[in-house]
Parts: sequence; structure tokens; C-alpha cells
Amino acid sequence: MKVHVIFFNQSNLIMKIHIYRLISCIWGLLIVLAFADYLAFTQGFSSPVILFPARMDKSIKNMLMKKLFILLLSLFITAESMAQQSEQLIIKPICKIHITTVHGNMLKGLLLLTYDSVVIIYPGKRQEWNRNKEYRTAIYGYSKIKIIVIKKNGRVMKGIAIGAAIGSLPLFTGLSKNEKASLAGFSAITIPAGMIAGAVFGFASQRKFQINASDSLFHEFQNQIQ
Amino acid sequence: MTTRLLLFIMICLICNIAKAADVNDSLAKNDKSVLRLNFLVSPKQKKIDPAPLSFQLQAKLMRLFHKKTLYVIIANSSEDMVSQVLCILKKRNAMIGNIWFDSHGHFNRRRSLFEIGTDEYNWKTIRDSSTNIRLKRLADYCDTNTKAGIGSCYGGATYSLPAIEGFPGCRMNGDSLMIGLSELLNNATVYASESFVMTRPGILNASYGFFGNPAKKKFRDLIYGPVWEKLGEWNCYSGTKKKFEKPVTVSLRQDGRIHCKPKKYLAFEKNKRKLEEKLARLKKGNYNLAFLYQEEGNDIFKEVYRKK
Repeated sequence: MKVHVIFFNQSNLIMKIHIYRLISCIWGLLIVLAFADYLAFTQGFSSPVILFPARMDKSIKNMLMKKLFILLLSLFITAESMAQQSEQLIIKPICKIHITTVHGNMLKGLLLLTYDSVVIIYPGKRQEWNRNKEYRTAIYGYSKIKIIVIKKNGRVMKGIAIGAAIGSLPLFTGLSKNEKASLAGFSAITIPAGMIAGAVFGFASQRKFQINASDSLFHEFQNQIQ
Repeated sequence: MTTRLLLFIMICLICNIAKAADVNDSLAKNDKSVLRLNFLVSPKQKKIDPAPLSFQLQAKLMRLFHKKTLYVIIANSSEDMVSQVLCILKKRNAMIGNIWFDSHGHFNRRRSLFEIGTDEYNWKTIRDSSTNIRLKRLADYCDTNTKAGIGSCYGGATYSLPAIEGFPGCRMNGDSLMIGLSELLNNATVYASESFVMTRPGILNASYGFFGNPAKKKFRDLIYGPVWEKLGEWNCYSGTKKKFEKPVTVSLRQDGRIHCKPKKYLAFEKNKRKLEEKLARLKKGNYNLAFLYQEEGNDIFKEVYRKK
């Protein structure tokens, strides 16, 4: 397998998109101006924009106008589609990943992509990713991987929410008003306790995939990730 | 309780002063006409880092008792360090007796190095005229009686690191770094460690403060095997003889002089037993390979890849 050296730089990509957008805006403006000139010319009004000399032959001017209009429109579409392509290149880390290789070595990082036979990993922390630190991405084929452990984003918050929901259950079990009042006091303890327990469980929660350098197990992992 | 504490501090201080007087107050006089000063160079920290902080605190404390000979230089870069050292040397009309470069070693860069602030010196940059030009300015104040110490982990490592997961095996080249530094400092004697360099309390007390091992889990990986095997060994390159002398056990005296202890660290049965236990417990999977990928942007790695 050929391993490419890839650097993902978000700021560069975002700048490219802005440039493409600017170009497409300029082309769009030119199209509007050309169309206005063309309309003014065909209707016999004085044109707001002078693209061609007034003394030019009408038939030639007409033909040139049409061609210019088509050219500008095609350029606008190209610039816009390039901006779209660049948007597709922006990669965000999916989750934290912990790989154990078949040789027993370990790699921790952020999972960027999974292709049909490889995983692409950013070998740093989320803070480093946010600070645009450029590290060489690690590319591991399934034949090198023994175990993959993933930790999803927002798992702590999810744990807190579930813990809080479970902790507030006593509020909904009381029947009479007196019972409800006493249970409200009780829930003042159970809700924070549930939140803390949920946060701990959320922090510890992880999913383990045994790959054992197997193609089918890797595809199973891929399907579950998506 | 407070009085006891005060009494204890007082006794410690008295002991220190007594020791300082005992250690023949070193205007290290090999050549009696020349005044020789000792420098401890440490990097300026942006974040709180316990290792250099401990070194700086201990060095500054000892400076209180050896103001005439010991100077603590905390520098941002090599240029900053050189200008501070030269300023002192010119003012005192002296030469460098001992100079100690306190720094972190970076195992993930897979080469021996030491840093002065932001500047890195390794086997390659030490010979590069564009990077060593600042250190070269110290050469006029050094001679064969000058001793230089590289206080970074693996600063004098001579072993090769094993290949791991697509990263080729490579030599640390600490010996080249030592030779380069010796040549740069006018054939000074250079000391550097093969293994870890600790900054325990009492490093400036001619004790075994530099010896030991870090406790972090990542160091208990098989990738660190060669480092563990050479624990407690220091290399010495003599600029006059132009050769490596037999390994020594380096420590620092209170006045910043580099001192070789007669007994090796591993000569103590307790240390030897501990090391054997730790060597037996080394296993794969403790070291995060991401560190190797992070350090790959530098020139040396690119060259290695091109060659491969």
C-alpha cells in the first residue's frame, strides 16, 4: 500500500473557498452588467454600461454580446462548482480513536476518515486540531490493525443528560401533593448524583472493535461508524 | 511546630555553608592566573514545567552561597544566553570553567539534542555554521580545561533506536553531538548522558540527583529498551585527547563544577535490582506512536525518508 503524506490545513481550505466565492461573485456581477447592456441594446435604450463602442456594427455587437454572455455564465458555474468542491474537502474529526496494531504498538489520535481499507488519523489532540497544528496524518490499513477503540464526541454531555433524567424520576412517581413535596427534596440529591454518575459513565464509555487484520471485521466497524 | 521547622531550616543552611567552605572554594584553579566561572544554563519557560523549574530553583539557591563563581543563566535563545555569558565574562575578566546546559531531551525526534531556549542543537545543527555561530562566540573564553555538560536526556546516546511501524531504525548520534560541541568550545571536555537525566532535589550537592528514571507509563515501552539498558551511564569526550574516555558518573558540585563520582549508580545493589525489575516489565503498547508522527515535519526525517 502506498502511503501518502497528507497535511490537512483547515485555514488554507477556508481561504480557498473565500477566493472561489469572490471570483464567482465578480463573474456574477459581470453577467448582470452584460445582460443589462444587451437588453438596452436590443430595446434601443441608452446602455447603463458601455462594453462596446457605440459605432460598432449592430450584427457584430449582437453576436459578441451573446458569446460574452455564454462565456461569463460558464465561468460563473465553474467558479461556483470549485467552491463546492473545496467545501467537500473540509474534514472534521469524527471521534477519538485508539488503535492497537498487530505488532502490539499503540496509536492515539482523532479519526478523520475511513476508506474501504484504511483509517486516516490525526495524531494529536482536539485542541491541537483547533489550533491548526499540522502533523503528518497516520494512515493504517486493516491488515495492520488488531483492535480499534473509539470514544465519541459529546459522550460526557449525553451521560450527564441521561443521569439527570434518571435522577429526576422520583419527581414523577409521587401521587399526593405531600408526597411530591418530599420527593422534590429527595430529587435535589438524586439529580446531581445522577449527573455526576452519568458524566463518569459518559467519560468512560467507549466502543471496542476487534479487527484482527480481517477485511470483513473492518467493514463492520466502518458500517457502525457511519 | 514552626520553631522546629525554623530550626531545621537553620541547620540545613549552616550545613550548606559549612560544606561550601569545605569544598575548596572554587575559583577552579588549574591555571592559577585565570579566573574561571561556572555557568548553569536553563531555558526560560512559557508554561510551568517542573523539571527546569526545579533545576532553576536549586541553582538559584546555590548561587546565594557561591556568588563569586556560580552564575545561573535563564535564556530565551542561544543568542540571549551567549550575550548574558559574555557580559559576565568580560566584566569579571574570566574564562569559562564549567558550563552546564539544562534541557529536555526529545525521544520522539529520535536523535540526541539539547535546547537553549528555542534553539535546538543536535549532531547536524552543531556543525551547521548558520546555527552554531552564536555558540562559537564562547570559544574565545574556553580552553582544554573547560568542562561542558549536556543535561538533556539521551544527550550523549550512541545506540540505535529500533524500527517501529514504518519508522526506520536510526542512530541517536549523541557522540557526534559531543564531538561537535567540544570542537565548538575550543576542545573542551564534554559530558552527556546515554539515558534519562533527572532533576531531583540535591542535584547541586555532588549527589546522585541526575540519576533515576521517570515514572510515566509511556517510558515503560519496549521502544525505550536501549535507554533503560544504559541507565546511569554518562559519556565523556576529551577535546585534548580527541577521544571518548571510559563512562563516568556525573554530578554537579554546589558551585556548579562538574564532578565525576567514584561509584557508579548501578553499583548500588538496590538500584540494580530495581532496574532489572523494570526491564522485565517493559512491554509494547505503552508508548503512543502519535508522538513520532507529530515530530515528522523536521528536515532530518524528510531526509531519512528520501534515502529510503
